[in-house]
Amino acid sequence: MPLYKTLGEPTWRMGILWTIAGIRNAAVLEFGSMGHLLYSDRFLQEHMGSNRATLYSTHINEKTIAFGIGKELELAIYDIYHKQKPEVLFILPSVISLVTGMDVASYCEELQETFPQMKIIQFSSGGFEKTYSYGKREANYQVVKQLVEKEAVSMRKMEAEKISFNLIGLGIDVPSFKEDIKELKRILHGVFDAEINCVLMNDCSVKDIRNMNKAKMNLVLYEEGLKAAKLLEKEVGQPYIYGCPTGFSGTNRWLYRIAESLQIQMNHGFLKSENRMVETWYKKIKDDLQTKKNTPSFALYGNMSLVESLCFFLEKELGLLVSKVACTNRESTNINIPYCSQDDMYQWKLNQGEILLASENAMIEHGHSGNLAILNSLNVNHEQQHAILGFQGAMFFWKELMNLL
Amino acid sequence: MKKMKTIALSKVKQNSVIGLSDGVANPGSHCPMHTVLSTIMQFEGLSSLVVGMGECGYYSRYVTEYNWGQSFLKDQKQIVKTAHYVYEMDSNEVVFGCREGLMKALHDINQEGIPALIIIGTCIPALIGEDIGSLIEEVMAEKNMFCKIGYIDAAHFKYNGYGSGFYKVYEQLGKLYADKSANNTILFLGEGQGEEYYLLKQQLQQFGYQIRIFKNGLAFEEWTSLFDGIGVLVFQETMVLLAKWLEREKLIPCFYPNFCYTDNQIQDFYCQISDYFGLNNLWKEKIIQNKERNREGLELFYKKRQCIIGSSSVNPLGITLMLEELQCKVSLLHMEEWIEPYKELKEELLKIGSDPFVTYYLGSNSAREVLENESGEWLFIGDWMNCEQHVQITAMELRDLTTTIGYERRERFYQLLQCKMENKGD
Repeated sequence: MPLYKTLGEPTWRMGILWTIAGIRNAAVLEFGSMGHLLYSDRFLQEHMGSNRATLYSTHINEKTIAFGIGKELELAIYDIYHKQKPEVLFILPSVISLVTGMDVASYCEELQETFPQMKIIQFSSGGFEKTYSYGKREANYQVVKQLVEKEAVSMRKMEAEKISFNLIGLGIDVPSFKEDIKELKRILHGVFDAEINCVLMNDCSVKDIRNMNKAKMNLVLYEEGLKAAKLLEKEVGQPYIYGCPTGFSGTNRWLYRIAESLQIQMNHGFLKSENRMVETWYKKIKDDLQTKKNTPSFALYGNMSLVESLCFFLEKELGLLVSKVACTNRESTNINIPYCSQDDMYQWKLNQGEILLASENAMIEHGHSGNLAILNSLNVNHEQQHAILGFQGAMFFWKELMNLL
Repeated sequence: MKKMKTIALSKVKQNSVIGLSDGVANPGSHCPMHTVLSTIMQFEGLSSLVVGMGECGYYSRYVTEYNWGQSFLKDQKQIVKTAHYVYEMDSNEVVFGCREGLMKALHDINQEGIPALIIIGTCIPALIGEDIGSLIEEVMAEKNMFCKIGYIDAAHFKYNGYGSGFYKVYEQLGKLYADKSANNTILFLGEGQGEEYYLLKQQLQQFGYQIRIFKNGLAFEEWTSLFDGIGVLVFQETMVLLAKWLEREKLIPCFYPNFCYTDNQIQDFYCQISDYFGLNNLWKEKIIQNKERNREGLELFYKKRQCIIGSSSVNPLGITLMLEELQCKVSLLHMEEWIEPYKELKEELLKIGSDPFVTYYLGSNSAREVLENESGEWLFIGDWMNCEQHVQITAMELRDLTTTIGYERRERFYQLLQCKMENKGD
């Protein structure tokens, strides 16, 4: 297995935790040592803030390992229930419980009967190979499967209410995710007079998730949300569209797809004013690029959905060259965007004029500013984040590209 | 007092018996990997390799602060390289072990010119019984292996807290580099502070001894050539396991001023070093002047008062010993880990009839909550909240006690108590 000299790969357990931690009044209990959750707590605080689930750990000692699950899990759940009374308790396995094959699932089933007021959801399968994106996908899917009200809301009732959307698949693997949510909210409100029903999963409550069935459509931004959206389509009859709205034409295209599939009117006035605002920048960067002797090229590394849409933006919209491309999604890689570890990405030899868009640390390591980071990592500066999706994202991207070029 | 899992100090014989006070940690404390890495970072040219699963490897970069690899040019010829590596085990290695892969990794690291490396084993290698120690022996015996390699088992399930991480790095460095001796040199493990420490150091120097200090932040050539001397004095508690190892394996006499809290213990220490290093007794008088102070007022105030020690920044057993002299009753001690050298302090306490309860306290740090229905004025040591009606000494206020020694340390502690008593009176 690899000897990493730089940052390793987040595992599927980290993917689950980083996703479900976005639920405000939930609790997460790891059946394992305390050390992992302490680091996770710091990471989540840095990237997500304090509006999130509370983390607990049972801690495991040699006795538990030798004799299997004893009273520890029950005691821990009892303590959490009395301390916090969360609506949902997620039980995460640790590497130790996976290696020793402790049957956490059957314990949880038994304990659910003791605590009927608190929904216990446990994650147990994933082995040792799966990566972050698998965990994120499973977390989205399980939460939707176990929490969303399965009753389809009648069309008449939906029509009477304001249009609302669920945003699915966003996560802290993209550093700008909070700003992206704000931007998408702004655009959807401006174009469709719509509201966001639930952002799965950032700063949402258990109630928001239960009521996801009340939205008119699911907007899947990253591929990790597809499985959950397909389930909602099957069980609640909610349609979905999948895609990351990046760049000027990409965002327009995304909005037209929503309008078409829902057969709803768009506020063309809002759209025109947005387009007018970005057109100035669009022309400027086009002119600037024409004066360049050597057209710069890009190397992209990040979440597959984002990388795919950025490729389109850079190549088709700006006419720039994308010379290298790879994604972090090992389990759902495609021919155009292969998987690559972060350690291997660090070894990329960039030609002169080639610009890397990846994590802040990797970009700095390659001599660029980290402002256009598209992948999260440790110890990054979150003070000045900008959206990279939507019209504001396109504007920011262009401005930064101008600086880079 | 709040219902919690405790054990009497007299029954604590090893680490595993100290239980967590609550059923659940929120989210708990660091694992020893954290402190091992943070200590390694203190030594120029010392590299680290974490062996384990993805979580450990990923978050270990929090401690090493993106230490991608650095080189120091020590003189015109020597370049010292340092880096932090992670060996991530795959599903096959979780079952069948990672010997082969790790061996290859060590060869790669050696080829990169890393001079000194500590391998940090996390939970999974320990759980599957991976024998990394023997692997190192095998690799180190190879002709072209220039890198010196040590190993620390930092599996969190073997410990509650993170303290052992400090102890073990120092011990490992001793094991890697302690192969010299010098007749007139005394090795100080850790650097002390305060008048008494400087007087002791000065006296040893005046009697012709050369003092060498092993501490954090040393340059490569300093810490790799330091382990020599005819005697060792321990001023930093986390270096006590290194001293015990030097005593046991290298037969170097070690003295432990950092572990002396009572009048008798301090006197014994000064007598022992005077005899061993051939010092005359005149210099001691200056120190002993501080010894006798009138503490009647203090005794009256703290006598029969109950105390909870919730800080492990200073040795809780040492603090208990000093409080017991005022007849202050320590009821509860927060301890994360038990190490063998605590045994002597425990015996001292049992001798005077003190047997407080011990727990790894995970609950809220509110005095009100821990006391529940208990009444009276208590003494709280550590960073507690809601202590308005009690007397409190914070961890920060105790900081001096980790570097001072002997009578001076006792005096500083009692002065602190005096000050708190006077404030309470106002």
